[in-house]
Amino acid sequence: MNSHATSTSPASVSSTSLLALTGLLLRSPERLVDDHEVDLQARLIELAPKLLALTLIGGAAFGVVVGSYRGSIQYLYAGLKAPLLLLLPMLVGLPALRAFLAACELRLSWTRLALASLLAVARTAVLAAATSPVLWLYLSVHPDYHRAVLAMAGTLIVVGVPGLWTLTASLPAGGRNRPLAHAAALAVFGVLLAQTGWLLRPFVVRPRAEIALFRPIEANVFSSLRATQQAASGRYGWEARGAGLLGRDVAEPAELPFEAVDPQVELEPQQQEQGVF
Amino acid sequence: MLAILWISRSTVALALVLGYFGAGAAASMRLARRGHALGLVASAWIAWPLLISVLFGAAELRSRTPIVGPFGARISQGLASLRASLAEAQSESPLELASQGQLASLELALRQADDRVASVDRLIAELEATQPDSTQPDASTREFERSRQASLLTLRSAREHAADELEQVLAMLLSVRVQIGLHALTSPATVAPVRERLAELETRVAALAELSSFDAGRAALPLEGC
Amino acid sequence: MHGPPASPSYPPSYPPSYVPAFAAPGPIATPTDISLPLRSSALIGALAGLIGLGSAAALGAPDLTAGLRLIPSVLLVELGSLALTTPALLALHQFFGLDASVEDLASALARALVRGGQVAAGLILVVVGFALTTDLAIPALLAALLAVGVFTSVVGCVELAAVERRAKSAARAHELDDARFTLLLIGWSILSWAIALRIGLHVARWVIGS
Repeated sequence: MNSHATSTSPASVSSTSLLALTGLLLRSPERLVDDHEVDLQARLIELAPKLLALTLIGGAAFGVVVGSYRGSIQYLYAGLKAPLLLLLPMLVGLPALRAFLAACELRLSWTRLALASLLAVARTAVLAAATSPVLWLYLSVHPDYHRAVLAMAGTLIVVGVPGLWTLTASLPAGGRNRPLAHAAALAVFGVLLAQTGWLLRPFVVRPRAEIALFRPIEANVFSSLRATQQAASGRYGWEARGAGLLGRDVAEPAELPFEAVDPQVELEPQQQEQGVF
Repeated sequence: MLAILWISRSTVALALVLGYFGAGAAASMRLARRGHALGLVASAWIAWPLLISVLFGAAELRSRTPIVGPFGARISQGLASLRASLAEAQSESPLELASQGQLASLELALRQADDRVASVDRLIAELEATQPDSTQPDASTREFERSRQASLLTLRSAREHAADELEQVLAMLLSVRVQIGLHALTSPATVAPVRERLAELETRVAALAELSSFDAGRAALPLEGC
Repeated sequence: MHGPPASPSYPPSYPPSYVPAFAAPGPIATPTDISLPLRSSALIGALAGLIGLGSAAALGAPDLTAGLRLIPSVLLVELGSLALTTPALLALHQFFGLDASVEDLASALARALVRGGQVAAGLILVVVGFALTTDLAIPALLAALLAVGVFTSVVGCVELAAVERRAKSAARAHELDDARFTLLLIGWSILSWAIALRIGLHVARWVIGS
């Protein structure tokens, strides 16, 4: 008998500790929603607080590591925001996922979807925390700002894939043309994750830049990625304007000439921060 | 270096954030009133959209202590075997023999019947443990003892009847599995007998509820005078 | 025989409620149930979803007029495309002597509209997020409209094939080898996309005000 086998019976789940639940989450999370004998709502009631706690703890650990690039109070700010980075895209994108699956003839209850998504996010958070030491090691050698941002984004992508896999594996079988629903959901969640990261920035802060909990609501992740790409080829001068219904009343920053700038001249920290994250 | 706490200058943004957490607070209060644990109540602040089904779902899931009756294990075993047989048959034939809704209704009815038997068992045990004060054998004590004995007799009789019915339903589960096996051998021609047996099973299970409620009603009468 | 316990004793710990998740569908999804009548509430919900998607994008509109015109824009494109292609589909289908009845075909397309509306409703929150925090409300709306179109087309083809299959004789229930029907489906898909794009251009000009 496999000594690592963990029972998913109702009694064992309700009494399991956070550590044991973490093990179950990493091994086979889909078993927690694949039990016909258990009322899913009761399981959601039992597991929701624990899974949220794992999301907060794992996300905070990841955030603290990301904040270490700058240090000081950025440890706290990034630690507070990282769990939101995982939760917000899921909260916003779940109705879309449900609609995609319904269009593919797979109707499922909100309870099951909520439980599956909590499992997915918690698993992502735990994996993110697990990769934190590696990320910290890399950030501790003070790489270039853009490389640091890429490292953070790359880590999130790497740990996000198992999370998305958990979400799809926790859904019931059946339906037609399900790959279409999965592809659409992947696109939606990917875009939401990127934009949420932009909205909640900064996470990676340059060593000499001012620290702020949030930046103004301006531009979007796509234009900033384009600006970063242009900056990498020596074209500076991107202006980030207030955007959207919530950001349009923000005073616009001083316009910079959109031409090649001498790389020997150091830009002001605020101008540098117009880049990604 | 001083950290600058940047707060959005847009009141709409603030209103949205406050609105979200305000809804979370309302959700937390509702869950607390329903008797949920502190962890779930606190979780609702952040993740109340995920708990909508809990917020507006049936309250009795938490309000009563669930009881596993004497037939619990056999019901689980019987239904698991039935599901396995149906799954095997489904893999070989495109026709659906029983919907998940039917199986869920079947399980619910069996569990409720088992729950009722367990409740009666508890009531019988409480009555048996209730002994009149033998030091002062007056008329009221004798009357109470008579009522107690009559109630015990009625409850035991009803309990045995309900238990027998449940036993027969569990035996029928086995016969349904036999029909499913025959269907697997002979293909679509035997779908109708399987569905008929399942329908018969559903009728028998539905009758369990009526029978038990009738017996429970009769059992209450002798204690009315106490 | 299972007799009552001799003394009061209950299980030491109770598992969570064993009431099964009968509210949730089982692991095997039911196939398209084309025999079920389409409820008007589903249709109204779909239309509300389409209007809701337009309203979500209207939050990010540059001015009030454009915003007001954005509200019905998605509905116009989706309904316009279906309304203009359905008569052609029904006429050609009957002209080719295919098996399904006109009513079944119409209800199949109505179900496709319902699914499209549900996808639109599901994407409302995403578009609202972009409208509130970026200037990408219109691109987000276009992406959402694309998703709605894809799902409406796919579901439409699936539903039409299902009604056609049901209309065939029982002996041929699992076959759908009529090349004419396949060509009809492909033609309908291409035509509906072309018309949707054309209507979309007209609606875009109207929204902008040119």
